[in-house]
Amino acid sequence: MNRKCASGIAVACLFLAAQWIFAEDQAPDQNAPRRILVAVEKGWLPGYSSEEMAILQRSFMTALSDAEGGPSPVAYGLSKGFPGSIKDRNKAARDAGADCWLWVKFSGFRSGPSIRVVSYDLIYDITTFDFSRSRHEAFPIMDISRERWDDIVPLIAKKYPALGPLAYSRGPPAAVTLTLRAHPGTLIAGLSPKPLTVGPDGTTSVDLPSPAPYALRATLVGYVPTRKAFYLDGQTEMTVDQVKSPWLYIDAAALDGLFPGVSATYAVPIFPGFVRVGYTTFRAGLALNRDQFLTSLPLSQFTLLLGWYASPEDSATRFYAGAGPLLRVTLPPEGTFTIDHLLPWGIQCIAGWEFGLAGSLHAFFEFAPTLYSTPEPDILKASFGTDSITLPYLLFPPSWALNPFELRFGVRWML
Amino acid sequence: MKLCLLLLLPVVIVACAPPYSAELNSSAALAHQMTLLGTFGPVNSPDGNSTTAIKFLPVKPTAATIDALTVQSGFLVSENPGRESLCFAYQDSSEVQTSDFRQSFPLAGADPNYPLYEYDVIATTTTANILVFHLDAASIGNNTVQLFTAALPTGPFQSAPLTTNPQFLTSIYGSQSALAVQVLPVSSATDKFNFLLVNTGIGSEVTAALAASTSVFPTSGNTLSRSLTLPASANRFLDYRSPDDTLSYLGYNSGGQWIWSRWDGSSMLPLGGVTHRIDALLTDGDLISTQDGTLTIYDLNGTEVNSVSLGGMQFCYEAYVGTTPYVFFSLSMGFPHENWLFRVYAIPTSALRDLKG
Repeated sequence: MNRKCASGIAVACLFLAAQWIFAEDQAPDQNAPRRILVAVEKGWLPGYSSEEMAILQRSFMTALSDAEGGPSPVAYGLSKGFPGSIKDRNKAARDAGADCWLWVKFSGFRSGPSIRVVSYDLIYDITTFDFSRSRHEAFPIMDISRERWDDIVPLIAKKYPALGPLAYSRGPPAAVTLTLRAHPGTLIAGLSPKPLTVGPDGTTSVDLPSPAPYALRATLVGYVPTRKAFYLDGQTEMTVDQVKSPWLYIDAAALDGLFPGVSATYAVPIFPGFVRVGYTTFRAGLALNRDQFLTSLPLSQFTLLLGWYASPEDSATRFYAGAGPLLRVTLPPEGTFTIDHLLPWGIQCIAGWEFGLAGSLHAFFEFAPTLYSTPEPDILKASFGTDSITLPYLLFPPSWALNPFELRFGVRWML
Repeated sequence: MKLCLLLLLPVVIVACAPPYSAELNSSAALAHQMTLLGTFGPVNSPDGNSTTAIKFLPVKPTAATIDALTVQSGFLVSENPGRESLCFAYQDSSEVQTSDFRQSFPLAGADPNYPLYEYDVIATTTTANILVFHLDAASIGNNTVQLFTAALPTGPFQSAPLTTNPQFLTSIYGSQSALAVQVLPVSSATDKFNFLLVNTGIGSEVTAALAASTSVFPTSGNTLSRSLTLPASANRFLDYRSPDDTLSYLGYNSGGQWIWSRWDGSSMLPLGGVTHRIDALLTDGDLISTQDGTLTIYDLNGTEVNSVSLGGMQFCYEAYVGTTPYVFFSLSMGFPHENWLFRVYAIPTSALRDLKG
């Protein structure tokens, strides 16, 4: 094989790889799994609590996910009532980016429940299942792993195998010009090989085969990236909902031995950086190194931090890092308000992990090794006692001490 | 739940309070105006976790200049529930050691307004010396003095090898009971000892020199300076004489209130402006009080001339360094695991009035 031939093959491979990469966001894969909206409901079923219903739903969803070659399930909230009509159920499925739905209803007695199963295929526009199953014993709630759903799940998996793109068309593919509405300048990825840019009029258009499921991601500086899965079935307009990025985060945190603190973070809009000011008081906390469980020191710590988020804003979990100075002040008994004379200032580095709890409330966990400066190295060393063990601090004479094990965790309210 | 436990585990592992010294911060403002002579320690509590407080009394200086002074040894007076104890501490080649010998002093019957024991470090010759006066209002006839010495630099620490030690203070002058004692530095090598004696309501001041052999103070030859009328039928007083022996300051506590008078040899002049316990009369004639952690300085007329918070510092003594009198303070810093660290500061007596809080 000569060099020219090898180059041609390499270019062809690159081209194919690029085609594959860009095709990923454009349309479902070849033989992509079906997406099925699963709604679980409780009928007249005395003796099963809402917690037990949640366990049953989770078990059913897990079994369906694990079914080889089966559809990818999307849960419909237990608390929301599943619509009664097929038309509304189809709409709910489309809104969830699914192309079929499954309604499972439990009823009967605790020791002999029955299960009603109804399913509908939006692609072929037919009801695929409508049957009931009866059990002769109660669901094994306390040992739910024994529940395999063998009388239902294999049927579903077999009925909804992965399909090629052509299967989404009930006739010859029909191109639909979809107009997307969003804030000017928004980049929309996932619908075309190159991201679409929303124009000054707040719209952009793209031709897409219909009907078919799609997913997009819209990004704009100052706004939380929007992910949207939808089923295109002839509609020509769609609005991308965009939420402004929170610019102020308020933390309630605990440092090391649960010493309480608060901090305020200003999230810089134009890039994923942030500035944080923090306050921690050592008035109350755990202190296993003080011959006692609880301790109270008239000491406070102020921090200033510059940081950077390494994960995008719409990630389920975000990682970030930062560094900045800290200052410790004290109001000792019989004394006046002053900068602490033992460890007056330091440099703190952080590596943080943040994840959502509910709504705008997040939880975070930070590893915060801190380098302190001390004008009193002999007192600092002696404060650990006569046995020369200074852990968790590492002393670097003449005037530095490192605590590599400081931890901070708490909740973050994003405003 | 697993996540919570996972998060809690490292928190518990590293749950520790930051290094901190309230005493260091409290005294910082004052410390900057004094000369730091040295840091001494760490020292384990002589009585483990039952120690509630420790006072460090450095050995009296022998250096000719303040810059040549170092803190190599001293006495530890530790407080425990029901008793005080005294030991000697010294710096060896690597760390601070405390003497095996410790003297314990029971506090039964102590009057909260007066010290039951007075610890006076006296001039250093070849040994470190400390006098412990036992002054008990309930049994003034049993008041004693005991001398302890430690060979420098590392001891041993012991009760001085005298025939009469402890010595009853009634033996100092004509079988009269001693109610108060004052140690006044005369030079870097010698101290002057003044006692207030009582005999049926009549107070007498007597000066004694330290004895050399059989007893702490000689039992004869002591000089009775003068007599004065005691202002109340109390059994405890504080009494200080000016260096030139012209004035005496006599104080007592009545119902929690200190009442002071000045005796000029013929009449008693009430000093209404002095309302604190006086701890020493300095070589420049000023009176100092450290009551309630505040250093209050009065002139010879009893007029307050300065008052600053000591921030945890404790008055040790006044002593000559060369020809200059200095006032010495120590700072006791307590740390976890019954560890203590001490600092010693000094300030010229003449600069004491200018201290700022």
